[in-house]
Amino acid sequence: MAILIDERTRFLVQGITGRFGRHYAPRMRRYGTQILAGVSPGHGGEIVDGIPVYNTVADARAHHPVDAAIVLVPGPAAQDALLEAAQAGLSPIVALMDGMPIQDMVWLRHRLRHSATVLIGPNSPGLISPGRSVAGFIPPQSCCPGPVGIVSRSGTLTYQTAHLLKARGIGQSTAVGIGGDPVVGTSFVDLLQRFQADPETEAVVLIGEVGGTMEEEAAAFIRAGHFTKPVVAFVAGRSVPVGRRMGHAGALVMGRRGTHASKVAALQEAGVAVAALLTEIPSLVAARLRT
Amino acid sequence: MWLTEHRAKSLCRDHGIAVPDGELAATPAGAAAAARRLGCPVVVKAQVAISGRGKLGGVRRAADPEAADQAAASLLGTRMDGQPVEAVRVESYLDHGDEFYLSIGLDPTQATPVALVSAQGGAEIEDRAGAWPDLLARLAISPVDGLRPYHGWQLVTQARIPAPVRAGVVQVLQAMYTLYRDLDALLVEINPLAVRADGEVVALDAKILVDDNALYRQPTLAQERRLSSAERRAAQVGIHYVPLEGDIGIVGTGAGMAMANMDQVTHFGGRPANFMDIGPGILRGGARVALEILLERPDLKAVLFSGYTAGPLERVARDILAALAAHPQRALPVVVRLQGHQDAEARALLAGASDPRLHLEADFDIAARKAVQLAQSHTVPPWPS
Repeated sequence: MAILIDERTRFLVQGITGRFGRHYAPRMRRYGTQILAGVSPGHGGEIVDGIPVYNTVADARAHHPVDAAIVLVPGPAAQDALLEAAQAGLSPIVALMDGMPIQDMVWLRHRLRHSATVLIGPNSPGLISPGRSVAGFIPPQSCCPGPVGIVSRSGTLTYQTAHLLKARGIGQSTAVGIGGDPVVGTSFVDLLQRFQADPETEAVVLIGEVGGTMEEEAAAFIRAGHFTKPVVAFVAGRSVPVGRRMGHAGALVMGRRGTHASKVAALQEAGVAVAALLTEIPSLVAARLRT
Repeated sequence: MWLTEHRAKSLCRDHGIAVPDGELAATPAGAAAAARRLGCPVVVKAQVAISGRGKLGGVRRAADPEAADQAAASLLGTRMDGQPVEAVRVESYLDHGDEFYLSIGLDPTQATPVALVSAQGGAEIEDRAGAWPDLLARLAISPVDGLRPYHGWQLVTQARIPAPVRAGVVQVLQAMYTLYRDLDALLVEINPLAVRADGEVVALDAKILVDDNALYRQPTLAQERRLSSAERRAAQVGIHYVPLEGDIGIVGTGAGMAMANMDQVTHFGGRPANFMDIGPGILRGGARVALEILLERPDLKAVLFSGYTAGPLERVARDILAALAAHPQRALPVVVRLQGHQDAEARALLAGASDPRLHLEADFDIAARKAVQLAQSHTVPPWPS
């Protein structure tokens, strides 16, 4: 099973002729990801690593039966590329670029609020269903197939966590980096819902960070009984000094949430095992898996 | 990027929001001259982007130009909450009655702008809002529709803004939303908006936070951005550097990894000297710039360079060696743990260099512990001259 992507998912890559596109598209293909086409305006007719390039998503779709998009365009062009992919009905759309203006993303979320499109990111490392498909930067050698789902706000901590689990002989169903920007397309709660429905996933590791309230919302979701599998969490940033807080709106919008302490407390109240160090995660997971 | 109060107020005035007359001064004599031109009493305000400036003594009333000179002299050149005070705003003091709180900010969860209005503005607004949530009117704004006059009326009515000044406050809210949208802001806050005896509403303070990701289309603001030389070098190659007070330099291959490294070092009893995320800059030589910035800091006792990345680690290893080679006299131990794409090649390169400052580790925990031990014992290996 796995969630969101597997060996049958057929991708196109937007921004395939850029530095990141040329570097990562061949690497994803070597792992087995189906990449049928690339899109880069002005580069139609070119070939990258054997992949035909088109000027528009519509043009690529007319020639190839693609389902999903991997987006590697620069931040200033991101809103346009993501809207184009969404309007073509592609899903999931995996937005890997950083530097997307936040108001561009706010507008896009509003525009897609009634759409069934699943948008991961922006500023995401992508996702991997080990042994089946990788969409993004996650190094496949850090992972192996197995029963644990990973959801993370951090790219590198996703790889590190998968690697620690793998060293302990614990594989992953799907690992998803949701993206480090303040506004992203898919939340922890969205992914917990999918992992709940996935029979292959027996437990989930949740990697949070200070700031925002996504960890608190995940905790409320678990506490309300909507997610019933074991969850192990780690929240990065315990030692990060509280940022130079300016203005009062953040606190007024968020209340007292968003700190390391509030996230850990909310998760623990929901019955989540919270690791103090990343390296404690594998034993906490092992203790909660069916043997 | 936080705008200074002076800049934020000039933008407010351009958008039709009344602010007290004021001038920027970089010297005590300049502050006194400004006070003379404006007419006393004045308020002398440190131009630093921090919260709680008033409580920290950054806002002084001055009855005459000599007092303005003294107030400026006591503020200029100091640091407030780590920020250097390089200028003061000298501003006419205005008698006023009620103080309101207004802001347009971002609700990241709902992904909408959100407007907040309270009839009880001032420095302790969060505490009062926590105690009396009814005092705070809140409205999510559609990024497509924007903040319309009827939204403004909804907010001022709900917040029980006194009837005679409601129309004026609605106009201020609309101007604030225009600023928010046109500047690519993440926050536009006026606290307080003060009511004068004639019913005019005046912004006594203004804070504007602009989205760094959008500075490419805000060229005027981008030019005004002030960074330290280390921050500028970091920004040029796309890496993120935040200096802190500790003595163990931190490099991570992503923001989460950088934070986890800081957490590890703290856990083992060390003090992180910075946050450094080289993830976005690995293909542009970010590892070299990162390590050079830390090698040039005289206050460090060790560096922890620890990461897991899909980026080319061979390049990272070459960059580490280049940074060390550029600072042959700096006897600073550097603990390196690299995992991911090309990690075997990277290890071989680093081991082959046999630089006594390099300590190669394979384990996430052990690397952090090693950096703490090296910093504590501060046994720096001798470097052949």
